[in-house]
Amino acid sequence: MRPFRRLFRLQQHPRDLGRAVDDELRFHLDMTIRELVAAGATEEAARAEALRRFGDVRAARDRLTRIDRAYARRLRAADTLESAWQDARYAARGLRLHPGFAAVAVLTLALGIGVNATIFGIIDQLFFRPPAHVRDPERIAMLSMLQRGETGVGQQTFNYPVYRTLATDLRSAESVAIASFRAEPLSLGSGLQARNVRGMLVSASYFTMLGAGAERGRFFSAEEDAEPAGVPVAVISDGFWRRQFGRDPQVLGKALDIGMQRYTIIGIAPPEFTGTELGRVDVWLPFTAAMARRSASPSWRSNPLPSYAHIFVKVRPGIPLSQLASDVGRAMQEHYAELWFVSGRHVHLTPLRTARSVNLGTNTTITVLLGAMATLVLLITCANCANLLLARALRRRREIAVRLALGVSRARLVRLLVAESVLLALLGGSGALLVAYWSGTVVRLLLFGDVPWVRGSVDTRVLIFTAAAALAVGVAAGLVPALQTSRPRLTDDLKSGAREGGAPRAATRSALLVVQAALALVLLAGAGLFVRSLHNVDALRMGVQPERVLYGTMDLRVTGRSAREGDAIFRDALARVRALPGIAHAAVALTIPFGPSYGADVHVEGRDSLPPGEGPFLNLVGPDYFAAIGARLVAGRDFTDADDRPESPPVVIVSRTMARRVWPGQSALGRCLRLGGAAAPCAQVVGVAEDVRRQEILEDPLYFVYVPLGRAAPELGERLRDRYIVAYAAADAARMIEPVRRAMQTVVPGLPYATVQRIAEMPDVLTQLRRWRLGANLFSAFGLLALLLASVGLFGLISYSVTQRVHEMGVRLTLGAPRWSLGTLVVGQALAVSVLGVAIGLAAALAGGRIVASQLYGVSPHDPLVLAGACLTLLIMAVVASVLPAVRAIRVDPLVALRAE
Amino acid sequence: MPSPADLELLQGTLDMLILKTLTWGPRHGYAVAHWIRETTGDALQIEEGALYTALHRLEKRGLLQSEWGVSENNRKAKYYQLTRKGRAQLRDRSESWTRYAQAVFTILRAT
Repeated sequence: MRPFRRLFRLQQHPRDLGRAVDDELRFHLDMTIRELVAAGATEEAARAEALRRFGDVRAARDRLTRIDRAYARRLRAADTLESAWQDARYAARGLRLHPGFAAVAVLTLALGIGVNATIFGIIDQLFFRPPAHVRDPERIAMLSMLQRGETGVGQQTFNYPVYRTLATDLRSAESVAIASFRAEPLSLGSGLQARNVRGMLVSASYFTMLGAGAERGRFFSAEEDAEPAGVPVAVISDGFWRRQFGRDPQVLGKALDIGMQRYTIIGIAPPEFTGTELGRVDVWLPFTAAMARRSASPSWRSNPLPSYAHIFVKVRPGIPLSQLASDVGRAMQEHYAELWFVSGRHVHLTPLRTARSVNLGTNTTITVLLGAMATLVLLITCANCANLLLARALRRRREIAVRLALGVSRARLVRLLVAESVLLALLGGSGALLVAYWSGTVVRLLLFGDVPWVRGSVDTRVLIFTAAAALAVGVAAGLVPALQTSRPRLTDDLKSGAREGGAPRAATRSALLVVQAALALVLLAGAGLFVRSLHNVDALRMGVQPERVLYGTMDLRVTGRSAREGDAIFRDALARVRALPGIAHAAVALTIPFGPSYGADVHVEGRDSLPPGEGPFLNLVGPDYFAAIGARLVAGRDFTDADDRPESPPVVIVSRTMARRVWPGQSALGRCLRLGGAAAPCAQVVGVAEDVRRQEILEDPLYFVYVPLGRAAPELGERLRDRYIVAYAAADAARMIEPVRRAMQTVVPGLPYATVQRIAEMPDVLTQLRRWRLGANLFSAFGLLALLLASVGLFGLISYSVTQRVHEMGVRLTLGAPRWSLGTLVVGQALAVSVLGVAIGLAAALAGGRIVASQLYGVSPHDPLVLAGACLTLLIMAVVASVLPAVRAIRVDPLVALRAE
Repeated sequence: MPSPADLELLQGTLDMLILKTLTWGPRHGYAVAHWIRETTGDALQIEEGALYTALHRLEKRGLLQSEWGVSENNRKAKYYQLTRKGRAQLRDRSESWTRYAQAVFTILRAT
């Protein structure tokens, strides 16, 4: 007789397996005994013979159970895999059948997770990721000197003598290194072929400290970085090797003309190595070799006053950073107690990871804000998806009820529903990678255009983050609806059609929408605050118009020319720039706003000292300087060519704040200033200029003294040799950059690279503007996204509830309610949800305002206009999202609605 | 009791015999043991415990599958039947086993 075909592979409990083996063996023994008895044996003898034939029953039983258990385990694993595949296929079919739902859900996820991946990618590269190829980065720190009560990094640039002192004097330091305070533009080649490379001047100890080895060749040795002038050798980066030399294997030993000096390439750094810098570096030069070749006098080896370079220290293993810090403090007090950056200050060591992003103008608060914004968007995405899935699960509740009635287990059903949301999340995650790639590129370009990123916007870490976020959202968004709908009231759901919604579920959906609306309001309020801040900053009169003013400069010292020859070249360059169509004004100056600054020794006739105030600072400027930077003269006149000759009588222009404070209530014009000592000749004040920024976008007005450049230059000789050309563009300043550079570059053959930019593009300006730009742009983008998601969610909920209430509306109409009242009913429902969300969001925004307060400018974190605007926007959104459903409600035909029952 | 060397020889042989036995349809363990005893005429002393071990192992390897059925005398019994993989294995092995036996036989005759 044939046994049954197997229908189900029933799961077997381990205990059942043992029992099954017992059954099988008992059957066998019984049969044998029966056979033997039939052949004439006694019951007793038959049993003994059966056992003898079988062998050790107990051992066999154990053996068989073991084999069966292993087999059952393997079957279970295969089952799990198979059912997962089934779930996935089932989910895929479900999505194919509802392309609209799938598209909205995937799009929501792609946007929500995508922006998170973007932000993660940026924060990761700026703050989280350890520097490449650096060993023990946690033992390396950057030195700075902080005033009492000062936060942040304080004074963080020093000089070569301080470095030498620390290098020989620190017992708790494993090594000490000096490096340029940021990758500086170095001129490569000359004439029109000249270009800028990003270079770092570093001590030989820099590489040993970082623990990095050269990819090819070697890094420079202590002998090549020894006083007085080192050896002109260079290490290039892997990227530079590729871009400049096409990975030429013969590059070692080749010459590199940097700043009119010849350096020999001796090594190539490993890929992505940027040392202590966050961004791209093309070339590293020995500190002494480069300094000796660019400086006219050897004072850089002995003068402890200037501040131009970072000092890094690496603590010995097992010694805390704090001990090294006190060690540094002792050394500084011992050798430099009277120096301005030592007296009244204490040592602060910034860990390398933080130190790398110090130059970026982003700080912890901004980072936390970015992270918080991204998290809010992720929450909104979650809520939106949960809502979509919930709505879909509600539509399917009859199907689900049928399945449950047929005996499909709850766990299995939950798995099916979660499978669908995980599948959605995976699709959304793939979309998110695209979003992350595009938006990452855009954000980098718009907001971090000055950061030379080493890696692309999507890398392995972003990939992992995206996958993890997608799965988390998928499970989170899928679980709530799955758990809810798998516990249905069976009979109700089997009986009813599309109508009865079930109050608790509608409540869950409304709650999710309230949360969404609240989060959206917070983001919109943030957007409003930062946009207003940025507006306020943009509207500031800084005395210079950063967007309209170009500046150009080149380092002529490296060509070995004297100051007089240099001035002649700048004079010719100025004439050429002035002649360019599109340039309204142009002038030469010693320095420019946001450039280097110089102090002046100023004596006022009739006063012992100046009234308290910052300054005075000095600038040497040619005629038309104020017009060229877009500054106004508030009194008197500008310098003329007659003031600008060596033999001209001395005249000065002062800043408005200086004029007001030094001669309160009186005119400054015609007064006498003595520059460089009480015995200096009297220089007459001929003009008062509006206050011009020196360094900071937000700074108190300063005392500033302007002196005609042409008159001062011969007296200065080789001192104060820097020269800038500033030019006011009549129209599009960005388009004038190339013509101006060409004009400067070709005055005489063989000039080094001329840097030409708008003031707005100077690294200092960009980093100062960054926090407002970041805040305004990202909050706006995220706020709009949140608004969009919330409105989609609201639209879904309201139209669903109209479907649910068609019957009720039919009844209302039959009972004589006017049609428009149905529309009010629908819009009212949308508004009720939104108002609640707005109220909660408003409370959150008011509470969160304190966190952003320090990042804002000229606007209170509780600005009523901004908050009211955000609320209004959300309410308008609610009305707009409910218009279509409301129209549908108004068009309800009572006959059809009632008959549908 | 067979010696360990004999057991090793038996292992492959026993598997073959079981697979062969099941080519005529599903049988329970007792029937398999009975059939082997009858056909080999007690020439092979097979301990029945080892036979069951082989059955379960073959099932685990996917060469057999089992299900509970009802025996001739109306008792619950575990039936084994060949899977497609088991059939293929039998075809495979019996050819090579015959060749092997042939070779051994030839050598033994040559002395």
